Amino acid sequence: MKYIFILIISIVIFTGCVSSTYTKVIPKGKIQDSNIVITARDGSFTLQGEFKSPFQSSVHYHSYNIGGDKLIKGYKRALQYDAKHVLIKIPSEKKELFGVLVLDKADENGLGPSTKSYKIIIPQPYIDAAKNGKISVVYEYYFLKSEGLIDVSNVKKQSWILWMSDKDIFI
Amino acid sequence: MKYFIVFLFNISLLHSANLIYISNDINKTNLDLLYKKYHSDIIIDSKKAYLAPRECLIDRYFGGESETKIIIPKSEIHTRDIVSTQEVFEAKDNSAIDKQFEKKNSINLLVGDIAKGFLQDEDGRKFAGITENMDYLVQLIEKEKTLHIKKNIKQVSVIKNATLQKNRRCKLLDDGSGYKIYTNEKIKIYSIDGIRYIPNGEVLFY
Repeated sequence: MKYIFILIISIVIFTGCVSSTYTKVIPKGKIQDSNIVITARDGSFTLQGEFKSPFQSSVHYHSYNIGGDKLIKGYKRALQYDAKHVLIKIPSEKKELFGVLVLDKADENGLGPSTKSYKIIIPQPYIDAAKNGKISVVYEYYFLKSEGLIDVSNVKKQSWILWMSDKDIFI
Repeated sequence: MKYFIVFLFNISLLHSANLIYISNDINKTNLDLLYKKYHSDIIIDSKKAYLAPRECLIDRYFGGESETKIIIPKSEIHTRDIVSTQEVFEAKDNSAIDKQFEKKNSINLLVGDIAKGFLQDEDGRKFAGITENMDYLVQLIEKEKTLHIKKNIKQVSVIKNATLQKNRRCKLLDDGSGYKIYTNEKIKIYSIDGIRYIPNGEVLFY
């Protein structure tokens, strides 16, 4: 038992737990379509066009632990890590969509412009797929630098995630 | 002291990559044609035009999933896990997606040409570990090239064989927000917005 414990500790030390837990703030972002407005349901912020990050969550989803149904239903876990309930006003839609927004901190080992700022894009097909109480989710991701013994350069980490539905199902 | 400075400079160039020299005609018309041909920003100095190699470029990546099928108008139905760059993610039809694949292929053609030359010029034993993959890459590139040549591209002035420029290098910035170009000359970038100067050699992606 003692040796197993030492082995686990060694793996953690030498691999950095696959991806580091050190994070940095992403201070700003932009919603690509300046006509789309995302508002916190508690009224604490409104995002339109370019914005300063009103909050930072610590969900840290990455491709090792998320995908498929797990991601679609992942808003429950995200809300435990400071994601926010939002309403999404889209010009082409009569009613606002309900949503959950993650604006995550970036992994210290993250690479690319996505670790410096958010760029929120909501293509129409995903808006259409959020009808009739169905959930649609969009996100941006980045890759990690590979510096440990294990190659993590193919690991994808999400910077922002937005779940949407036309029904109030995220409560 | 001089050697120490040279040593420090060489350290800073670790993990840098050579720019790809593509043309010696930098008039605006040709730059425009080069931009359309490679679908990529063109780096220019006082005489020549270059492309940044893939080692110095990072895209933004987007993805999405849904409980129902995602339908792209005028296109086939995509199911889950569409992961892509912004252009593909926002694509309204197949032509936008095709354009992105064409962009990828045009850069691959250049890299393939260089990889092929590399194999022919060097001692195979020295690079035995990667020869098989490189051969495969070259075969793949030849196949793509045959398809690519069939497309009628306007007369654009490019040099016969794209080459890597040893004294023109670039390196990804530590945080990946852009890349830095190392050269003694003043550098400009030709992109869809026109020509812009890069005073400190740092090209940011945003």
